[in-house]
Amino acid sequence: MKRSHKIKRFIPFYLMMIPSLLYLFINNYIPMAGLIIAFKSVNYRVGIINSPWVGFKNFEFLFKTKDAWTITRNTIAYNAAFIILGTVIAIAVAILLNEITKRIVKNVYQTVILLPYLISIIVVSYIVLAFLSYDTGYINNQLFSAFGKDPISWYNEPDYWPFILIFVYIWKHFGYSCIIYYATVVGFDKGYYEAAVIDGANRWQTITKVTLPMLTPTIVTLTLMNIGRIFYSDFGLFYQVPLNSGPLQNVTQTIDTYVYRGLIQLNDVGMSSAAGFYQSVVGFVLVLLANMIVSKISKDNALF
Amino acid sequence: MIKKCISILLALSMLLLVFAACSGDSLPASSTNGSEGSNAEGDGDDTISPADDGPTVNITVATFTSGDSSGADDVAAEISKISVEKINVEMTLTMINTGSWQEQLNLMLSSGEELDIFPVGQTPVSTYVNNGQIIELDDLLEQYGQDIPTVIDPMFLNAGRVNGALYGITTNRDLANYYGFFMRKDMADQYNIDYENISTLDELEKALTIIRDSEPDMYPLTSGVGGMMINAWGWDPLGDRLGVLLNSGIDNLDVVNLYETDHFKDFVTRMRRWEQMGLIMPDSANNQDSAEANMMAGKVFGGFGHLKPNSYLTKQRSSTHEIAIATLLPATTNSSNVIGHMWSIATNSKNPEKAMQMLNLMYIDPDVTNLLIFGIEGTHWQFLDEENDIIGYVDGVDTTNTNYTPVLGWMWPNQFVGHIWVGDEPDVWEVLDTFNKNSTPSMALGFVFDNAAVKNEVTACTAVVDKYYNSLMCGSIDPETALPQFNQELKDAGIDNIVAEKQRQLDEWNANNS
Repeated sequence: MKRSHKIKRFIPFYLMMIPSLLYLFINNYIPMAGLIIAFKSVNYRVGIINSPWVGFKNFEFLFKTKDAWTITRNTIAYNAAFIILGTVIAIAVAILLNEITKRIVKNVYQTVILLPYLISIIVVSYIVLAFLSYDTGYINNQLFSAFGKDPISWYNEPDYWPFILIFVYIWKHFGYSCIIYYATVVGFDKGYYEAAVIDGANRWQTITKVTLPMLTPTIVTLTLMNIGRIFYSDFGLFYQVPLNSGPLQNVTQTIDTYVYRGLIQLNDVGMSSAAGFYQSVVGFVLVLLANMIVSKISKDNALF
Repeated sequence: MIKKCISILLALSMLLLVFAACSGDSLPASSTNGSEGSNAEGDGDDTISPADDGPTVNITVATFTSGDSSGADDVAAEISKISVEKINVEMTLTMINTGSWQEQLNLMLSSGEELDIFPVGQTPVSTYVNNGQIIELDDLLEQYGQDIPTVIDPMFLNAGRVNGALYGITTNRDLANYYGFFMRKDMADQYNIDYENISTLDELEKALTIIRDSEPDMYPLTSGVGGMMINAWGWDPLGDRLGVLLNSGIDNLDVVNLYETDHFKDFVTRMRRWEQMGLIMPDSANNQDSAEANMMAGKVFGGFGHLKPNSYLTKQRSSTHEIAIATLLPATTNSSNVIGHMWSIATNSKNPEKAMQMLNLMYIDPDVTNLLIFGIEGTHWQFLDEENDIIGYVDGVDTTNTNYTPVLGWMWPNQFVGHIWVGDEPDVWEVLDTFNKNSTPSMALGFVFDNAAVKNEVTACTAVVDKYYNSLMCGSIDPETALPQFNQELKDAGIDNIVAEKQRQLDEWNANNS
């Protein structure tokens, strides 16, 4: 009796859910059937369903190359650095933003922080070029010549690029996650802070004892979601920003750029789907693992 | 517990739905495909009548364009007037900007959209064949395209064969080329550089040194967009440059790994020396502009190029300076040149016979050709010199505001039967035709490599070449250390297998052809 009453009360909400469920179903579930392409040698003449099965042959190219290790290392290490540094910086800035009381100043900061996120990566690659170009770049042309230092051929020196790429990525992306954290922080009940102040907590203590603990669920959720994409890389960042420079490839080659460079000749949907499938599987396993670890530490914060 | 059960059931039913949906989609599709195929065959056998009285058929032609082509519908309507009368076919013309062409084409091909005729080139023809995206043309050509062999030399026509069957028909354009150096004429004259008599890299080096010494603000040489210095220097790339024939394939059919040869080593060692001498613009391997753009900006003197007769004119059009040319390697032709751009019929085509008739018309009919290349007379172009067949924009229209950009004449099947755009020599097509026919063909002209058997190796090697090629060719890394490294990585990636497979296919092709 009581149960049916409850369901009746939620009917409008279920109705409201339908469009987004449909969206999810159409866009995220139906295409999963396309995974079979990864195991087929596609021939358009007979259609995907009738194309011959080739087992795991499409996956071979990912592992056969000697670069397989470099590619995997780069993809995962860069993403790990992005996740860790990105989260720390975004939280720090979000908390700092929260400490600002003047409304106008706060709005200006928010806009300035978010702006890079909205710039196309192609434009970013030219901004980077404006700094790093050998003869006309700002660093060689202005900074180094002012200090009498020899110019560096940036696009030929792989040593600098891990830092450059991480810097560019953080510069471009931290604004976005910062806004999410900031929105969460703003939503916290002011009562906690007042109580903390009454108990004699200083600013640092309110941050570490009140803000951060209350922020943990958001941090865990966002990080887990990022871990799910740890085996995907930002193609534009690793391909466009280094201007597809050959000598840098030991530090810029990731799975996405490798697939692009290798398959640009072959145009083989089977092999590229295989790469995508492999990325998803690794991401899925990593999310499960990370979630397991989180739930071991504190069950409340786990995603599922 | 119950909750869990329900959620699992839900997930299961969703999965089932997915499979139901996809099989439901695919079954009718494949069955209709089958019946269409048999229908089409039936038509071909029973009623052979080119300009038949049946319902007018629509043929979709898709291709790329480099400017505004929003007037394509009007042009197609004009062409349809001619084609309906001659072969009872209407044309739909889809023009896609070069930047998104490859992507859009792949979508059209894989989604089963209406598409009959399109050009192949950027992706090797063998890939389309292996994917089953284009159809064999031999029988169709014989029956419905009988005029095409009269305008395309058989030597070039037969280059569109993969494993013996014809899949693409090349166009009349520069099917051969020579290699040389193009430079700013004003400066060459100023420093008394006798470009007409420069024929070796040593002589070129002297000329470039003069420029370096007298023009401190200018670099003598740079690469093209994306850092490509030149993609062939006296070798027949046999498609992908993984396994080539040296000396443009004139001497023999021995496939070699280019990157291990002395020829390649000499060239890149010289480029390294030039780079150290300050003859090559720094960061050339990551060049974001064309050599022409850099010349226009006054930053460089010239660059290497694949050239054809009147190349100086085409280069001049994208520059503000007059251009002079030094010929360094003689004119040759090979399969890669010829199959670099061909017209094919898509597997999607519902009326391959009509598509071939349409192609036939596009190859031989001057009116159709002029419409395709230049647009409509009076709307897009007008005669400037009717006697010499020279045309130009109509008054008030120019590159910036035309809605049918006439720059890619080579892309259409047969520009040789069309008018001549103002600025070109009146005899441009005769000269080009003679040039094509007089060039030295590679012994492997007509051979197309099918890479299906060595896909993994090709993928791995392509990635390795991408890593080293531009940097070596632009002299930005030292071949002393980089070349052995490059070759080791290629070996690990399996280039020897590719070379062996290519040699095997080439020998087989040679046995079948002689």
